[in-house]
Amino acid sequence: MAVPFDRIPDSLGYLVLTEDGAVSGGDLENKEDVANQFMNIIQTALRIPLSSSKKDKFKKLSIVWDNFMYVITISAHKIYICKRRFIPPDAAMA
Amino acid sequence: MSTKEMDALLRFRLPGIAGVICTDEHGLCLGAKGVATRETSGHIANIAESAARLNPNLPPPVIAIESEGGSILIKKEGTITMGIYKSPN
Amino acid sequence: MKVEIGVTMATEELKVYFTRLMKSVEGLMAIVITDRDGVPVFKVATDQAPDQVLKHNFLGTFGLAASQASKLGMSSNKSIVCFYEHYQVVQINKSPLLLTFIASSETSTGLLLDMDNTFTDALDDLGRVVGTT
Repeated sequence: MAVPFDRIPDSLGYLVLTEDGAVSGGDLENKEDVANQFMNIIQTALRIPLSSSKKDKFKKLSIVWDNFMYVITISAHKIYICKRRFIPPDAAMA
Repeated sequence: MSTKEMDALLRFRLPGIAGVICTDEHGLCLGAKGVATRETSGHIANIAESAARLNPNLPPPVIAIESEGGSILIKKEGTITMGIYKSPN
Repeated sequence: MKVEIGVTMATEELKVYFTRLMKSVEGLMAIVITDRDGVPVFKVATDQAPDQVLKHNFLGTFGLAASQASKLGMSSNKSIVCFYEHYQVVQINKSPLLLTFIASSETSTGLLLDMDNTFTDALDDLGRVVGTT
């Protein structure tokens, strides 16, 4: 499977979960044990309504620490999890 | 945070904030304002707890769940978990 | 005859569904669905669940507590949360059914209280079965 994660700037690792198994690399290589933890988080995220429309599922789920973050998205029955370096923007949210 | 402060956050602070929710360590709702519904409190606390467990040695992360219709930011702070709903820009 | 087969098949499916649901909540040890008198309609449990909670007298007592609580003049009782040293029991009134969740005291109570919304559809089916028998 072609996983174009190399092209993502500041990527530290990736994990792709499909119905038949998982593909991983970088910091997340062979970290399939955390896959279950991610699945739990994703399932919970799907239960939190974001707008009045119940069909509105999340597009992007980010979990952000001081220096790195996980970015999760779902597409075509696959779950893409990317670990990225996090560089906080200089300007505060205004 | 009192409900009055939650009101203030909704009214005066950052524009685009559509709702605020606070839960305790049992996932019980301490307060919900704006678009936030009290029933969500358990899930908010749960996701904050699960995400923090990914890296137990680090302070709890910020969780951002984004969709076209709106987004929510969640952070656990001590025993309290807080969620801030944002409407799309 | 046909109805019976339908019900058994549904039970299998429900078992898979509820087992998955139970495992998705950390510390949740048992989900028991009973009728108003505490007679189990359906249950799933892990090995960690304390034995006595799955017995009839336990469930009956909780059912009784709910019906007594409904007589206090504050409209019908919606839910009961009982905390113990190591366990918590959350019961939700979903007439004609009673949902009982037995979990570790660490488990998020708020999550358990919203469980009825999580599986409304499955409950509607069960409610229909109870309603007809």
